[in-house]
Amino acid sequence: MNTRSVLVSFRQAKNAMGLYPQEHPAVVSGVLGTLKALRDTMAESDMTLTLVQGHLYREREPQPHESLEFSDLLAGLRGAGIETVTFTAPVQVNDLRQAIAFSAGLSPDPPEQSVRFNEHPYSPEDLGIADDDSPRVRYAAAMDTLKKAMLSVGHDDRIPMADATVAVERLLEVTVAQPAAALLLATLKSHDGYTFYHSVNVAILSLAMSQNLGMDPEASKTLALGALLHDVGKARVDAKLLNTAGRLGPDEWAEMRRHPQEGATAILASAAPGQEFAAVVAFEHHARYDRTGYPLLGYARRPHPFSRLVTVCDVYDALTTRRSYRRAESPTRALLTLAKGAGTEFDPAMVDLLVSMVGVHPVGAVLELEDQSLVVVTAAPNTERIEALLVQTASGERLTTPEPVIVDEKRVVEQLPADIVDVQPSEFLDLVG
Amino acid sequence: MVAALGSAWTTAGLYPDVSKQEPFRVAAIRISRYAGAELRVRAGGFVISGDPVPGPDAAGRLANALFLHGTESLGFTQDLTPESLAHLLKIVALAPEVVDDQGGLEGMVAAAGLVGIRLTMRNQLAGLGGDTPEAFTVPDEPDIPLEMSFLDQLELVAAQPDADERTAAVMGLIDEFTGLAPGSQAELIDRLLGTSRADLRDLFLDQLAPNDLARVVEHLDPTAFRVLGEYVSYVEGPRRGELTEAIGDPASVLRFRARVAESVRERMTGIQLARPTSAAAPSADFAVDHEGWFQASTEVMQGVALVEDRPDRQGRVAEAWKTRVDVSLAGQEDEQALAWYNSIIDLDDPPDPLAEAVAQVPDTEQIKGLLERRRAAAGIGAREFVELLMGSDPGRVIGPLADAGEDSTHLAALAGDDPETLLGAIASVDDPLPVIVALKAAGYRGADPRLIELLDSPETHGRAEILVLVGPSLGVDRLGRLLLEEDEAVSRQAAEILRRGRTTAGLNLLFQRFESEDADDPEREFLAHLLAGTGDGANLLKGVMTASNLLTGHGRSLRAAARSALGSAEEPR
Repeated sequence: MNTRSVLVSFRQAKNAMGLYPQEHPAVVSGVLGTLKALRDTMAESDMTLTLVQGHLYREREPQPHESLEFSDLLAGLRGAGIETVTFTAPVQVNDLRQAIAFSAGLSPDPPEQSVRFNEHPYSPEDLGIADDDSPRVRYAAAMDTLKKAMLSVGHDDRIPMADATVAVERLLEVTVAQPAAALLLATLKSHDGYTFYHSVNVAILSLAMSQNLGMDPEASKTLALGALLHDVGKARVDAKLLNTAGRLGPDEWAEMRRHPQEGATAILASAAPGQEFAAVVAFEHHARYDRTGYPLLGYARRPHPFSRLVTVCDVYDALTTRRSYRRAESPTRALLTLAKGAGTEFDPAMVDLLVSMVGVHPVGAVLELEDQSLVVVTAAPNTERIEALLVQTASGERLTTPEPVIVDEKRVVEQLPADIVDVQPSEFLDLVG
Repeated sequence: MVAALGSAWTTAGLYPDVSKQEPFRVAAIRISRYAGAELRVRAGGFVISGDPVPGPDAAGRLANALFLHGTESLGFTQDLTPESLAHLLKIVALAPEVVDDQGGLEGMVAAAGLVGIRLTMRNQLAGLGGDTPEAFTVPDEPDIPLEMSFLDQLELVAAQPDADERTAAVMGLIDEFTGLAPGSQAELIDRLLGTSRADLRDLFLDQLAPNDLARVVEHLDPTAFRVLGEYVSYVEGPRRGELTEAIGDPASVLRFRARVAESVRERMTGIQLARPTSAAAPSADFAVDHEGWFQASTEVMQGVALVEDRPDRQGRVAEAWKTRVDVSLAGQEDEQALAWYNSIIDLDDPPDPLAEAVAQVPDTEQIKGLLERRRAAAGIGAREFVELLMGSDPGRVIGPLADAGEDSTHLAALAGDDPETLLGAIASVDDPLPVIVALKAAGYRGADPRLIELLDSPETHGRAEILVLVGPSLGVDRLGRLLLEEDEAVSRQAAEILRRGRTTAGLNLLFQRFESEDADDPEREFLAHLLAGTGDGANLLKGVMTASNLLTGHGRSLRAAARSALGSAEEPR
């Protein structure tokens, strides 16, 4: 049991409380599950979780992956005014129930005994994060900005374009300073809101392409703002569609296909001078290189080169992500799909650029080797000697601390979609320069 | 948990008494560790907190089966035993109609006394009104028509209630399939293996001849090949052997992988010759191009206007358009404002809400610059342009026309016998004089009270001009107050009216102001010249000079102003 288990069960309990009365079995089970996870995790010790600057800490230890995976839960806690949670062993079930109810907004009274809020035993300086500006924090900040943007669009409010601009500037800095880390970060796939992760990934991929092209920072930021907001129009698509499981019918697809113009309209209504170009990318990202996509362009030119670039990043990330109706493709397979569409659906030059950037074994790709061990690529996609991390040994043992290895390309048997082997490449961000 | 469920479901299909099998027991223990978790069941997969949970395809098949039994959610408690789980899966594996006949899934679970299992059925939730909507992720990746049409056809076939008809329809699809080129066949199978709709996949593959499958195997993606292997593993009877033989050994996967890698590598080699490096300057397509970005943005404004087809959406486009014009004007980007403006104006047939928005835009400040440029560009007069743009409604056009320099005669003619339109425009136009003159020319009786109201408001433009028109009807006291205003145009106009009135009280007011310490030299000089032009005023000025001789109580500048006004050759001593 670990922090993640506690958060998983805490989230389940909180969600159950939001749906059912306190005595409902789902609520009871959720609370008890959290209690068990806590007791297993804490043993006889006390435990403090601190939320600061978008990061979660257990005592003084950062919990980077949990910070992202549970960003929704953590944002909810922050929204409820909870910055630290201190658990004193043995945690009592009534205190825990009270804590969960308070965090869910169902009780006005915070717990006071074995679970307590906002005691702040550690300052940001204690946690060594006074000036934390890690790639993960930047990623999370970009995602928060995007969530706000989509919320705004859904409520017919203005998109916070200034925040979005700051977010892409910060992503650009990561991409310039730590290109491999940025690409690894862009492999982050999560169950918590596909669109948010996808859009930030597309922004990072676009920025990485811009760096490969030697683009001016201003042009890169303009490109990335469009990439970040390219799907923002989905917030205005009929909400009923968002509750439809499985494949969409023709009418539903027609509704879904409105998101480019909805996004463009929302951006045009919100942008300061100079930011309006993001609307072009939002409007054109499904228009296809041969102009046979959607929506119909009311002008003679092809989609703008920036839109064409974002389109290939969009499709690459979408294909490498598992969806409810389709498995994830391996990166190479996704590249081949793009190559097949080059000249029709996609700008061939953009496809070439992406292929040349990510290579045969992109950063973040999970490779199965001859001996059935698994490695995650961390650098240098274009050589026969691949820099990687060994994450699973030949005997099937999953390593808690991956080992850096150099892999001869000839030993690679197969490139696997990460989720099939339950590997999250972005977990190894701290091990990549 | 979902992975363990998938594993349990697969294993349950392989063994008659699966609860004795170690992998199954391990899976059951793993599942029980997630006691309290609740999985929402959807066609194709499980959902937690509104988001689909990735897992093996076997989990997707289990979700499908549960879904067909009407299950809304599935959860477990710590009491779960391998036996209980095995029994549950055995029931789930039955055909829905069989389960329905025996009391439904929930009923059968209860009747069997299974422990550690929590089920919620869809109809039950609907009855309680508790079917809370959850956010599902939405398909948004590019269209893949081949997959779409093929899977759509399969979905239609799967919906056939009659088993014989269903089989016949599948055979029809297979006939079509075998007529395709091998590459297309491989792509179809690849897509089919990629979908989480295991029911559709099985429906098709169950009828496909091993030989047909064998033809495409070597073209399949490695992952698809892996899924195919999984499918074959749970096919029962002699067919499993046939299929195993047909799909061959894993060497085909290796061959494919090598081909894929080589293809990408070749592409890379070809690209590198032409590919710009980070040190090279990017092509014009990727350089900073404010003008090009802006032009593309205005084109998109047009594009959005053309594709939106409902008034409410067109209304949003209109709002966006107005925002762009406003923002550009506020930033004094007149050329950009005009470009945004034209992006809609230039449409041949703008939708009604947009046309209305265009008509509402002429806030005077905004429209003025646009009109000037538009007029210059189009070579037509302001009147023609405004009327072309906004029709002939006087309430809309008088303000813009006045700002565009239209003469008062035309404004009066436009207003006709409705002076309210002129009054409404006075407060907003840059130069209200033509409007005011038009108002007076229109002979509006109630003009003066309205003008006096405007005069009393410090925000009103053109108060001096209004004073010209209404001043004679104002009392001396009121004019005296206006004399003290900081707005020089107003105070001087008030002084002029007082002078013209030539009343003793009025001239005294002017003189008091002349003597006031608050007045500065230019104002004194102005007032002195006004006073000097009247008999009584001149006497007052002379008095100043005399008094200063006696008392030296007046300042030097005041005496100088009086002397200048009276034409005196020398300052009195």
